[in-house]
Amino acid sequence: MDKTLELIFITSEGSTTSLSVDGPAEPIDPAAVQTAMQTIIDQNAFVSTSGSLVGIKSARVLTRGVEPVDFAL
Amino acid sequence: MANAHVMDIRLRLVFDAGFKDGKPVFKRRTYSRVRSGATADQLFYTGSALASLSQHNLLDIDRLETSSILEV
Repeated sequence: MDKTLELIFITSEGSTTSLSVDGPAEPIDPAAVQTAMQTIIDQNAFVSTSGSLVGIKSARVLTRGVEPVDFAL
Repeated sequence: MANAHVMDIRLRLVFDAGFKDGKPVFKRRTYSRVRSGATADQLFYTGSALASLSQHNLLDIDRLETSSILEV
């Protein structure tokens, strides 16, 4: 199962944008996620199509399952 | 005469993903839309913050700049 941690930010134009981390460290530590997101906001190195990153909206883990298709050969 | 015009800046994180067949394997993750004025310090702390959430060890933080070469 491939996991991706998605960090969702509020932008200066009132929209949202996300940054993803592949293979997040587990268990997910909410405080560490919040700290990292605040650092990203404070450093202001990214600019989205809807402005700079100004706030934390949410974070979530996406899990991708892969199921092979069996062919009856 | 030609000029280089910066079109795009990306932040790339290089992680240690162990060994395969006796050779080190690197995992790279690139983030686009870096502000043109972002300093090395800002990129360092941003890259470190993203990497702190990963299960892999961070080896390197790269700044990738793509410029278009235009005839003046």
